[in-house]
Amino acid sequence: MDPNDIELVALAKAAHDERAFAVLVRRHQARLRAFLVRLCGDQARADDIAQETFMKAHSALATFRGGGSFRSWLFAIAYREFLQSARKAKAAVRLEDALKADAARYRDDKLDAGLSLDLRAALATLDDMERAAILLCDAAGFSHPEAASALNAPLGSVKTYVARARQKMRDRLSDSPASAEAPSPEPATTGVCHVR
Amino acid sequence: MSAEDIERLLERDFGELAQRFEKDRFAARMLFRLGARRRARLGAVAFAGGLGAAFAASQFTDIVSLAAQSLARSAPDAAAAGMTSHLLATLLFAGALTATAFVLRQES
Repeated sequence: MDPNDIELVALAKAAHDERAFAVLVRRHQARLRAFLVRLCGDQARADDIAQETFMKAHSALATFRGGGSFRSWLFAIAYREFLQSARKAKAAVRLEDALKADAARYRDDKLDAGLSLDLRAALATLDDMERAAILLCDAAGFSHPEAASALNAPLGSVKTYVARARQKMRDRLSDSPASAEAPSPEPATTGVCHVR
Repeated sequence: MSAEDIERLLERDFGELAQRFEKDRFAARMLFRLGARRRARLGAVAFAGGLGAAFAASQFTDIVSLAAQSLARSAPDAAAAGMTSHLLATLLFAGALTATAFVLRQES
């Protein structure tokens, strides 16, 4: 049977076992990157953030106490990195402007092929915290306490963010002429990280 | 559209995206980058070890003689057992070399 995350972390910490950390990287990288891509809409940037996240996790592994799950600890680092990256990126343009500017770029993006354009546009209407909360809870399968730990927010607030995000998306998708399954001809996109 | 529909769509998209990312080379690149620090440390240890070995080799005769004298004083029984102090000193250095090689092997 494969060792669980906590056992691997213990091994990596106690024996400085690089192989144990490598297993953790392989186990979590895909879902972490999927989360980051949907959070900021740019795969190159998402991969940079993911790399930085793993580097930081590797050097800070000794500080992981095991109170929560390893993945929520890892996603917490990723979310902090995302916020920091967003600040650095001078992405303080208004979301609507950014959506227009990036629409063409994303038209042929294979990463977005599986996600309806309406759904992407609906995701783009959320603020960072709401988007992160709904992605963690509804897409990545985190429990609310895990998401709260990852986002460093109170449990009640996370539940509120998720509920609000669902409501906003429902409103947005009800307003859109096409259903979420059928993409509209003019794509909107979550292409830009939303920085307030 | 219900909350469940939204959740299902997001979940499906997320799953497909993650599945695609499982197959690319990100993890390999990441692990190579993570190993860079370890490789640098190993290189430094190997360089220092090589330098020390080269110096020791150049001084080997003198060092063995010195160690042999010291051993002859501290372990006269060994000489009596037919083991010369020079041989003992050589064994001592061979042991140190083996220990170094063992540590390097653990590191790599």
